[in-house]
Amino acid sequence: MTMQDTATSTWTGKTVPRKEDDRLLKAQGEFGDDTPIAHLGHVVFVRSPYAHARILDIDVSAAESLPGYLGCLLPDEVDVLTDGFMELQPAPADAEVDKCLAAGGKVRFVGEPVVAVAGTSRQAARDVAATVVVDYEPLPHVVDARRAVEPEAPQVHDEIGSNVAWDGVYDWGDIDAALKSADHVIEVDELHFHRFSSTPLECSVVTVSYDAGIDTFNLIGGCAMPQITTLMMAAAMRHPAEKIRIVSKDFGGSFGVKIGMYVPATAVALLSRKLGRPMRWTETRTEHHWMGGHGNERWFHNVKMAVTSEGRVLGLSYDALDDVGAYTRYEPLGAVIWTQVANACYQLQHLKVHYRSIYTNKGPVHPNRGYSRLQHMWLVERMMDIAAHRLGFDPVQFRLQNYVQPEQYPYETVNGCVYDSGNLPLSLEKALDLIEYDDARRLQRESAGTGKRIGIGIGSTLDSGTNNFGQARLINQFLPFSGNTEGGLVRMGVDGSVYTVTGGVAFGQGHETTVAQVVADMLGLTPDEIITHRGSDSALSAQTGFSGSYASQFAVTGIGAILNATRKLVREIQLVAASILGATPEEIVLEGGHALVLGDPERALPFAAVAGIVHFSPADLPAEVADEVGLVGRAVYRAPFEIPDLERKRGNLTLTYASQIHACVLEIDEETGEVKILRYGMVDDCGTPINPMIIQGQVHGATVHGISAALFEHFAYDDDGQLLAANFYDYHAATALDLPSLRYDSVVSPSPFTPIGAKGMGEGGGAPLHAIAAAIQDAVGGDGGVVLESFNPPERILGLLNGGTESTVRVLR
Amino acid sequence: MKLSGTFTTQASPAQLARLSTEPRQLEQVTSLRDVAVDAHGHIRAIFTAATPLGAIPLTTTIATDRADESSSRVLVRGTRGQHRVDVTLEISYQPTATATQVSWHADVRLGGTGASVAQRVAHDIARNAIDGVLQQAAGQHLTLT
Amino acid sequence: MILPPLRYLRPGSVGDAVHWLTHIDGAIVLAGGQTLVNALKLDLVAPTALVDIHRLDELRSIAVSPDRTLTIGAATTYAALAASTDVRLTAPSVASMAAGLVDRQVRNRGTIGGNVCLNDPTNNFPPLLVALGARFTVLGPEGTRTIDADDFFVGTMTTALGNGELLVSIEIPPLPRGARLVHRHLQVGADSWAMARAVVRIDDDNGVVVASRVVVGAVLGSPQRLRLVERALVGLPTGGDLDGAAAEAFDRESIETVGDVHCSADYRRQMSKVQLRRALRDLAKGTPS
Repeated sequence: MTMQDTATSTWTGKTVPRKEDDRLLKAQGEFGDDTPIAHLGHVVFVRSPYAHARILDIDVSAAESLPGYLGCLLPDEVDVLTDGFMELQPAPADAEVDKCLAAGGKVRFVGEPVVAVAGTSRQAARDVAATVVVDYEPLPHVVDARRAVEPEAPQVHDEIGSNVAWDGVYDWGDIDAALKSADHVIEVDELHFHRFSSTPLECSVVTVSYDAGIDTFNLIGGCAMPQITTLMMAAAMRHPAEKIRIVSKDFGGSFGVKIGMYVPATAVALLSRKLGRPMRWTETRTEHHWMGGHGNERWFHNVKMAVTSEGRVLGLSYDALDDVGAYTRYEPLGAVIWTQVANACYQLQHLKVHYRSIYTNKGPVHPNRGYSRLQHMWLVERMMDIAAHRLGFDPVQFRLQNYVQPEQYPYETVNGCVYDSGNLPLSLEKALDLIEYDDARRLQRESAGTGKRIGIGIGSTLDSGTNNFGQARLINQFLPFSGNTEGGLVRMGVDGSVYTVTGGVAFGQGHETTVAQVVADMLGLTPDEIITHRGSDSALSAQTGFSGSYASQFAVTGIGAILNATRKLVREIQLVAASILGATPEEIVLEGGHALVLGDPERALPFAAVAGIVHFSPADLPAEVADEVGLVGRAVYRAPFEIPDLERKRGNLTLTYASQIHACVLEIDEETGEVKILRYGMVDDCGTPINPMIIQGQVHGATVHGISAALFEHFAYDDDGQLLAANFYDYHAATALDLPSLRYDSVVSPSPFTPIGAKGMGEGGGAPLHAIAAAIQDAVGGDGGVVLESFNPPERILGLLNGGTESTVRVLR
Repeated sequence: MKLSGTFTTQASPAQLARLSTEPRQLEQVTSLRDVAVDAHGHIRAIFTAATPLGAIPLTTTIATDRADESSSRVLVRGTRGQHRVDVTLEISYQPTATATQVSWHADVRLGGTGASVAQRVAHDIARNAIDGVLQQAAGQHLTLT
Repeated sequence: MILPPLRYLRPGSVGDAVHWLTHIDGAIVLAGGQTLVNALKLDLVAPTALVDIHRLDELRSIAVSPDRTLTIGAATTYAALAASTDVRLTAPSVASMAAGLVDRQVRNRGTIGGNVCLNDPTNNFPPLLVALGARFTVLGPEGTRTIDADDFFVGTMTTALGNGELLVSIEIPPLPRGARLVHRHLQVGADSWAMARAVVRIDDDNGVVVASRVVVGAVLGSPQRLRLVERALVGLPTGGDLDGAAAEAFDRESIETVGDVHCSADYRRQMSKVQLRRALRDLAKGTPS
């Protein structure tokens, strides 16, 4: 059933201004720090200045005499009051103990919270925190995953016995045979995908009011995954989940990283209960950089790719060391999530990956825009590019030839994932048009000898959306997760006005607008007439366990649930109108705020009358209708998944695959290594659009982030384990001044698997990282080095121009 | 961060070797105040670095790991709120015909926010701070003894 | 924003400001606050009082004397410098530096006095003002004194300003006839830290370099005059191989650099040389002074 069953598609698919923007532009939004709360206390964390140290003593005595001091929370109390947060990894790394304050008498990364202090104001709390004396004994630390796996490396978690959080081999097809028989084999010793994050505009803010009378924690704050957060906190605090309520209002970005909110939120909750007053923690930018969630850093070793003499890529193999930092938190899900895009954009037949998740004394990683897939896709795309350059294939033709072809959809990957739809060749063609490819090649030729070099690069990616949580069982067979659902609720108020709330917590993606568009179409109203709930509220029954905003899924799951919920409301309206108008429910259509009899518009009932009758005059209705109708549609969308085959590590792991093909032209200064992007084209295909303007906005955002990550953003640690980009002083997020004008085009390949043919999108797959690496390579040319890093600041590019990485890349045949 | 410096003083190697354990001399150094000896026999003091953005007062612990007439090894830890600096200081004394040449080598490790935001300036600030304290302390020694 | 406990003082005159700076232990000047406010927010420094001078009209004037000496009040914002016709005509390098500095928000708040008094090694103005031979007028408890740029900048985040002294104005003498000046830099992105800075000035008399100032920034102890390079340039024909002479002399200079998250110390040093070379080429091409 599609929405066309009940109404026309007047609004869906159209560019409609965002409902949210009116309040946001007038500064009437309500972000985490805005909500006024009486008697509010403020929490500041005392954090570790060391990468690894034993806590010898904590002295808070100086705090007690300070004005505004309310109290504090110490690790010893947390040890008694909570259990460790739930761990996803199997033995032996399930022995990891992760608490809201440093556990086990040690700190494991710079910025780890050790003491939480509360004051009557943020200033007071900070001044108090400054007087807390923590005596540390620094311990040997490890900040490089390659060193962390050596036998004598310092142990991040003593109780585990190694720094390996997860270790597994994926082996699909027969790569050994392919490497043996292929005409060409390319081998690269090491590639590296660097650590960065999305740095949302709003850092985390959590307000907790503990209501002692009903033993309930009320949380306010941008929460990307409310029910999982509730579950984590409930289990750790040994407190019923239904006595934890999470409300989110306006929310300045998550991009995945705020999934880690349960850790600080637990400390704030404990303090609120202990001190008997509401508590708020407002994260500073430096705190956010230390532990707000980094993207996965990954080392790729012994990478081998098999290619035929005709330029067909057979497959590849590699060993991955994924640096997850000091705690696993959402990890080691990254160890399986990359397999959603095992094939990347290509018809690979063989793939073998030995993957290990590694602890280091660095900030914990969290899901971050393109989570775990972009690392793998960067590797595959980089190898495609290296192979093309080394084997003498044209990089455009080489990709075109190996892309999954339009007629092959639905396409099954090496591991049983099903790519739903797409047209990669057309997308590439459009991307090359955007950068005026032939003209760019002319520019490139003309740049020879000018001191500037021009390079052209392509980035091909997928944004897989709507997870099958059954994939969690591939990293730990005992995890009780499978499939995916989302909830939604639509109801008609006493005057006929329509209210909707979804389980997907928007953090800037315009969910209120897209929800209003599809609901308006089903009810025959305009989007302006649909009242959309801002944010989310776990008390409203619109959520399921997987609810939230992550993993590029709202257009499928959130919209799917709201469609199902609206369908229930439509049915109720039809029942009421049919009984009043003397028709059958099937004859009732909804149009212009009325329920009317098809073909007989004179027989119509305004929504206000429908609502009035149900809410205030049920005696007007036949008993069987009055008993059934409450004018509330609450429904779940279930994504059609099965539990994967754990033995063969096969199964369909995500429902949709949006694609992004990017192309860029850049210029490198031969004396400095500086990069200037001259042209940038991006082609997005996310199926049937709901609101093209919102899609374009998301594509622009993801592109800017990717360009910024490729050239500027780097969470580098020094040898002492100190984060050197601990705030925006040194973490340069690109501004408009750094960017070219972005050129956009789209392809529409509707998904056959989703309610309206739309696909999740917004993460974007990190295409700029691939495109820029390829363009740098193209500019550097055959006599320079090989781009083996995802992060390429000027100094590194200058190094490439001077050669130097040759020996690590070999064409074996 | 590895730093070093050299200067010449009229103090004798024997006098210099005692410097890091004698609060009376350190008290005379203008950037140090509240000099005291703690329960472990370490010197505690407030060291203040001056910058155009204001003073940076650090609660400092000075522990002499080893000291003789040819050299000393001193461990200094400074804390201020959530900022931290650890210094391992090796000082050697070389008598010349008329004076003593002091050479110092320091391994300075910043912890917390300062490690990031001070990464381009900490080198000079720390070098000047260490050199300043040592020179002044050495000079003060003469006036007091 | 969270501030440490401190006094906020807004003087009515430069005299009041100096009085407070002299008599309140730990008081410091707040001008545009572009660095100071961040440092306070991060709890890096602990001043006891902020003496906010940014509204003092006496510190915000721009004047040109009959001999074309430009006098800039210390609290003049970058935006005001960039917009001033007087600055553009008499010291175009100052105007262009100000116009290209960071972003609009910073230009509207940040002041030239703050830039030079902080003397962060990456700052824009110190090397330029040394090359221009600027003079700094300072008011202190003992009265007024004037300090040459070469003496004003002492080292990383250190200037010649003494206790209680306030920078009042910066005088930029007119460049001699035939003098030309170029500044070049390499920075992180379009508006972030400098990795290298170079300013080159040559005074040309009848086709011969009669004097030169070559200053680099973003090195330890910035701004640093490269005296060997300067000497190597003097006496050469202005149309000659300035580039080659400078490069040879540069390698003999003692320049110390530090690495940071953006680049290594070695790269910084190399890039100083590249920026110097580019500045010299600009001069050769006759890029306006």
